[in-house]
Amino acid sequence: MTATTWEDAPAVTTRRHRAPLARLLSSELRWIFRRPRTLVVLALLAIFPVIIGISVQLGTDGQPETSGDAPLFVSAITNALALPLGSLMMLLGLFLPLAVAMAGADAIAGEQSVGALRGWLLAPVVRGRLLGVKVFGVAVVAVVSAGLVALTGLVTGLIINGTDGLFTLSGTELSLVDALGRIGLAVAWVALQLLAVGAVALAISTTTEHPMLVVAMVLGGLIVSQVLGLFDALSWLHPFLLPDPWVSALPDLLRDPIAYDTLGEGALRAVSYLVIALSLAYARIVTRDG
Amino acid sequence: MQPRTKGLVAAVTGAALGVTGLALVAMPAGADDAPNLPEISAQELVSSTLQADPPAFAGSVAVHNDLGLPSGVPGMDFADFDSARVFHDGDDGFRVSVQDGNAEYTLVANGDEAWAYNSSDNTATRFAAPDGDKTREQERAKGHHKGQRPEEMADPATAAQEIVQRLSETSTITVDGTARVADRAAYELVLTPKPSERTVLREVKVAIDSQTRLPLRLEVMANGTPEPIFSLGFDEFSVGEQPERLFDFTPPKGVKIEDATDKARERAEQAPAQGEKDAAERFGESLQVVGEGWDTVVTGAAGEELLSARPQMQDGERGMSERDKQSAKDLLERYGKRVSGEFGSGYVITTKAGSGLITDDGRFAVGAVPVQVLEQALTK
Amino acid sequence: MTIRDVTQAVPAPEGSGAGTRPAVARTRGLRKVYRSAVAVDGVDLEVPQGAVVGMLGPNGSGKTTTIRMLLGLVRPTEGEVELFGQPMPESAESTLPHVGALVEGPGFHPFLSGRDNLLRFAAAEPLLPSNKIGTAVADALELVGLSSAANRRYKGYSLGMKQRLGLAAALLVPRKLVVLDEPTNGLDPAGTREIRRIMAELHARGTTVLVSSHLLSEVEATCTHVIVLSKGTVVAQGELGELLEAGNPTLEVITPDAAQAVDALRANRIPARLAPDGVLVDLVASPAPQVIETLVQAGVSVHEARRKRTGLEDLFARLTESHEDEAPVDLELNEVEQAGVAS
Repeated sequence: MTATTWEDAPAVTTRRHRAPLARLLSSELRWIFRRPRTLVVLALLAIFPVIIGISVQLGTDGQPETSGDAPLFVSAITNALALPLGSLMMLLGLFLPLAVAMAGADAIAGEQSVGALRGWLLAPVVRGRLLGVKVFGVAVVAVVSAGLVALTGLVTGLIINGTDGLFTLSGTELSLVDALGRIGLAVAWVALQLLAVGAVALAISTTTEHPMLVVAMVLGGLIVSQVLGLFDALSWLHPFLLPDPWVSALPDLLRDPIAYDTLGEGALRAVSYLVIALSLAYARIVTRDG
Repeated sequence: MQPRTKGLVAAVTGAALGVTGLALVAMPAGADDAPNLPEISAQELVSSTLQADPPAFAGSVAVHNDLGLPSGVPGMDFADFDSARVFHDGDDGFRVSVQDGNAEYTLVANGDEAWAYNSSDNTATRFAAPDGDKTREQERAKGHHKGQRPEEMADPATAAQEIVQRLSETSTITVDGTARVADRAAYELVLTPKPSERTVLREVKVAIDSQTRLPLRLEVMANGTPEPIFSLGFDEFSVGEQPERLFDFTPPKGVKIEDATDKARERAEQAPAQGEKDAAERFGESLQVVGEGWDTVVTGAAGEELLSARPQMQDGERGMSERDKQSAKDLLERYGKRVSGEFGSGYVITTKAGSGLITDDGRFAVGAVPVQVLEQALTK
Repeated sequence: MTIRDVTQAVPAPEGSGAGTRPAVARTRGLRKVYRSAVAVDGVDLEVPQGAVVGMLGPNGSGKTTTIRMLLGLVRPTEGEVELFGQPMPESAESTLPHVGALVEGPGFHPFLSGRDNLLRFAAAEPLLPSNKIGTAVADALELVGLSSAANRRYKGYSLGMKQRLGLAAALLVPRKLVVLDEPTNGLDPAGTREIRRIMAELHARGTTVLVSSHLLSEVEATCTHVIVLSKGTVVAQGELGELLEAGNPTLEVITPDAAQAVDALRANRIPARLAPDGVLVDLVASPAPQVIETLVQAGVSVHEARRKRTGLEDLFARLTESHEDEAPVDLELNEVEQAGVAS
């Protein structure tokens, strides 16, 4: 509070002032990626593919399993592509959603729980804009966590198998560029699914100030969805369950040509969840008391 | 606008959009109305189908079966795959990918060779077209149209007439309206058994694409159920040039490569034991077809010892479950119904598509017919 | 004397300087209902420009709810709020950048340092140019005396340090209005003095300050204006001096013959009570000269007689406590005296 700036303060007019969006976004990212909890989860996500790669390699003596229902990354012994995709597939079951659920929970409920949300509203950052910044943060967490898994998975796979071992489930050999393209597609698709989970977390986040409650509800919902997905009698319900295509869609990226049906359907489903969750979150945040 | 109104508008609009999106995922495609197509007679339809020269296309095939087979019986999951994708280059090349969980079985064929690749054990099997090249060359030299049928089929009109006539003896053949299959307009060719036929089947429907005249779907309907008990058909089908690389196969490094002809030779060289050979021969000779048309029954004698035999562990096969080790008789006792009559006594297994009867002395009869017809066939 | 009387005795908002100085904040008919509980009802208040306004009231009197509505955090059930003449919360983007606020305690993340927490909020300040964020944060930390602890995690801060960091966040940019909700909560005397110093400095620079407190000593010490809230309604507001003068005029008479004096006055139907050094005489019924004359005629030796100042504490205590039950008169008098000594 230097006297000069204080006295030179602009007069109050009806002109609306907004902090530059880029500044808000970068500040949000700095906040997210300085949280020790977030860093621990990201580190675990990054290590997972390495552990799987090494243990599959050691556990099978480099010989592929011959039984039919072996998990995807069992073929990782000979196929560098299978490790990143297999890791994404396995982590999509719980761990990756956990990362975004935490981000969504911290974004609003977490801020509210320490009273920091008020700081944003008083600056002011209007509520719609605030939600936008928070969605951006969750989206970045989704992309970073999916990308991190794919990256360490790919590097581990390449170290174990070299660039020779890049081929599809249809037995087609892939160039490194093609393989990277497919992994990129997988990361984008997984990130979209995660963003849908994060949006649901944000929606719940706007209704409470207990971040752990948000995480518990999101993961609980996912587990219930996955269990419901196991019952054939409920097949009419399956298209409405977000995690329904999570297991079946990613291997389609390893086929030649890529089978886009399940991927496309899953993407549409994720976008639907995203739209519903974000509109509810918006409705809640503009009416909620700060 | 008040925030409350703004929030409400956002919530309602967003929820409506999202639910619409989810409903789009949930709704199966092709539930539209039957298309309007010019009238066509059954004979014309069959004829044009025989004449059809399949264009280059890509599609995916789905199987639904509701045959009412007892679950848990080994060997009964023959049609149990998730989906298959089919590519055809309009010439000699085709590619079929059968998806089974995280694994895929791929079959690639072009004019020169065929490959099968199995991702679950990472093996590629080569099928050389035996002398295929030569025959083809000769045919081409003679100016034959590619993919042409044998000589007697040369005139599709005559062939169609013959087929329709032969089928008419036991069935009523009609073109029963139109249908939309894989979002394409198709004629429904329906075969209905004549009233004199003793069968559990109600009708067999074949949907034939109105443009390419390719069969797009086969449906088998049984008495007593409105839904087909078995259907095999495209759920996606699009005509168009397919990338050439789809019909080529180069096994990647690190893949086990087997040669089908070598394998067959090996198998032939491994002379089976005399007993086994005899049993197989006897089995082959005992096969008999009783009746014709819809109530055709296949009978035969499997031999008593086969009933009590337990499946042998084969080399390299691991992890056989207890279920797999049961003898045929154990399974019959569990899933079959005990019957007896003039033919003797045995077990009967009934499904929506038909029934099978195995007597205690190892004779059997199978057909898409009620049990009485089987009993009669075995009595003869 | 009833509460209503007091309210009437206090000059209405129009008279409290609004004519000469425009109001920075103003509410009309403000009402807030949470589910079925009425938190604030019919609040009309006015914060004149350049004033240091103390909002006084016991816990649960609706101070924080009123402040939250003033700042657009909460939408009133009924009534209007204006900041700088613009309606809230619609005009938040044009008014709030000029307002610094510390509401309901500081809200910071424990895993970040004090500086990083401030940097976060500085990024959201519309009036702060990006290249001045660093210096603004350093200046704010300096102002509240947290420069040396700036890089420590907020988790390790003492209650007073946390409160001071909240104040720093409110003062990141030059403000036209600073709103402080219970700023001395949890502070030691030194911390309280520090807050007072800062408020005085703000006042000197012409910044309007609205400060809420349930401690009247604080309001008495720092404010130019006072708004008293009780059970969600404004029971008194106006300039501090006027409010201090308001209330029952009382004459304090120092005399060694206190008992004799009371008897004499009561005989003349003048209400009087015993006080430690003499008597207290209510001047509602009779003017001061008549009281003195009565005493002198009765032979009471009057050492000293002075018109007693009605302390804000007296007012506050009566306004707030009388709602619940009538406090004993003697106790009330003792409080008045202590307040007089303290101030």
